[in-house]
Amino acid sequence: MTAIVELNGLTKIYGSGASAVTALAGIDLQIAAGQFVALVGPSGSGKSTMLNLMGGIDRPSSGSVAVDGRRVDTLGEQELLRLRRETIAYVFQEARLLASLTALENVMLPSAFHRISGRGARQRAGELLGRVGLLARAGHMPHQLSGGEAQRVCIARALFNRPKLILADEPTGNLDHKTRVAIVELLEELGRDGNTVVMVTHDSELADRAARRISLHDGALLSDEMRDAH
Amino acid sequence: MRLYQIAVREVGRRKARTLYTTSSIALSVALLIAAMMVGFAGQKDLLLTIARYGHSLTIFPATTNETSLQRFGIGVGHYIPEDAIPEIQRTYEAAIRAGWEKRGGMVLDAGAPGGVDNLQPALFTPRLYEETTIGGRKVVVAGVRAQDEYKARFWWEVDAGSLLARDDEVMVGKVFSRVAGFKPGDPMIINGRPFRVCGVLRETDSPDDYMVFGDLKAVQSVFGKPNRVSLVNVRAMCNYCPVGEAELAINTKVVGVRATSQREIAEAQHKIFKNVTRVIFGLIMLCFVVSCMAVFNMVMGSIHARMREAGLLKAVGASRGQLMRLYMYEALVIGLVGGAIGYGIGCGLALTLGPWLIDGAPIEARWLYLPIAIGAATLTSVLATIYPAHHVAGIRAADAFRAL
Repeated sequence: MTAIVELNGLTKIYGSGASAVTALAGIDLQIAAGQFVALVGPSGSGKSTMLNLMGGIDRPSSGSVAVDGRRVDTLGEQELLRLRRETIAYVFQEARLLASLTALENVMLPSAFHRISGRGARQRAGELLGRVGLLARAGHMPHQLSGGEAQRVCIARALFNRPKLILADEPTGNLDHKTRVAIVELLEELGRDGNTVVMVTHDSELADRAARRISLHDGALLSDEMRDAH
Repeated sequence: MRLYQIAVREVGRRKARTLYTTSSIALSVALLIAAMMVGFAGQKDLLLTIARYGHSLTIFPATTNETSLQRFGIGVGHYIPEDAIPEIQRTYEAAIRAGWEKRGGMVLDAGAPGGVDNLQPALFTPRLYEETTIGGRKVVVAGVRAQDEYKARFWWEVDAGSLLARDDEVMVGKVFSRVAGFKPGDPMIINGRPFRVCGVLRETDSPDDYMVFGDLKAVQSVFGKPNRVSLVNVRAMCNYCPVGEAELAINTKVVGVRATSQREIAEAQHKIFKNVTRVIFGLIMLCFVVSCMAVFNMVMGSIHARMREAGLLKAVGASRGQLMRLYMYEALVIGLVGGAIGYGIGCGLALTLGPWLIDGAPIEARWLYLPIAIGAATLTSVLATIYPAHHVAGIRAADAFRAL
């Protein structure tokens, strides 16, 4: 299987001297295309740092990060922007929608920055909302959506540009259990459909639903298990 | 989806903030538009006064006192011999030619450079003023050379009847007609001689409104003042005529008379008006600066929320330039709305307060000022937004995402 993500000797140190903190220590890792991966570990284990480095949001202190064959850690701002538009999508802990746009318009928000025609964008956004089960809520404003529904809209938005890699940082963090399960099931389904999903979570139960579970502790790789998705 | 559509939605969503920023800008724009409208009307009024009196001298008997001058030269009891007018005329014309030649100018036709020989002669309109009682009311009767007077006082129109044409007719000013009740066709006895009222002048906002006008010879005869006039108005028939030179020449060369240029009085008023207008506009510019700062403070106050929003937009692929454009579109929308509202309020202010500030000045709403209003408002809004927009748009992706 082709590796969509390759980490080689990835290290991230914050600060310097006596106050330096090693968030990640020499991580070597490959993630194949189409895998649903859960990154787990206690607070401060380096999960979010690894996700940020994969997404090009931050730069490593040493080592390398490659996404879809390109060295992310050496890209300039413009190239990183292109990467965010074409290859990588993000789902954040709190559903971040523009309050002035409807659910449909939030899903097609990337088209404002990526020059996709209005009609094509609407059609694609409608398909994605249908895929996450919210076509009936297309005209609703964010304040009219529940937490779970808003998060599903965010996932639909993340899929808009057909990304090769979806990075989800605690996507179920603020939701009730039932909704958390529903969100993870959706991510699971995306994984089955061939999307590569890397999800950070501190919830073991949810992590168990991923095809692969990578555990971190104090910036180091603790375990890397392939398991059957439920 | 387009950036400007997002901008319009965002502006519409933040109603309180939009109201605050547009109000601040609208107020400054309203002051600007009101000042421009009132200022324009006032200046128009002054220029009309200059047009009426500007290119003219008034020649009085040298014995006329200051009080008479303050009453626009309506002095009674002091006279210039009518046969002195040709000498005055010669002195005037010689001074005007000398004035042009001194300037190096040659006059082809009125108001344009060309040959001095082609100067259009000035219009001399003598008047005799005599005070009398008509219909139980004290009034000044003015004897005039009617045809010359109509050329000089081009703004004269009749409200009723016809202009003076015969020596047994009189024309009355509007106010006198209203107060004394005279209308066209009515008989009028002046010092025992019968006249007929031929017409009522349209109101001119000048002493003419209070007078009775008759043929000069007839009035001289009625009051026993043959060959006498109270003053001579001289109207230059060219723009920029060196009337000042003529004033000096008459005052130094013609005995028994004194010449005063009305233009200088009106121009002095115009200068004061312009200076006051400059001060007012300076204060209005200050208002714009304050508005700009208010908008800036408002935008900076919401910077934290905007950072999170910037993080989201960067996550979905917005570049720094696109973020800047988005915020500038918002500023444009606020400017458009603030400018339009300010224009409306400014027009209302000018139409309400203008006539009170400048009595009789024609205040008009001018559509030309709408783009000026919108331009000023948009500039203010954009200037106020540049720094906050730059600050937010320039946020590093890592910091922006952290804000999420």
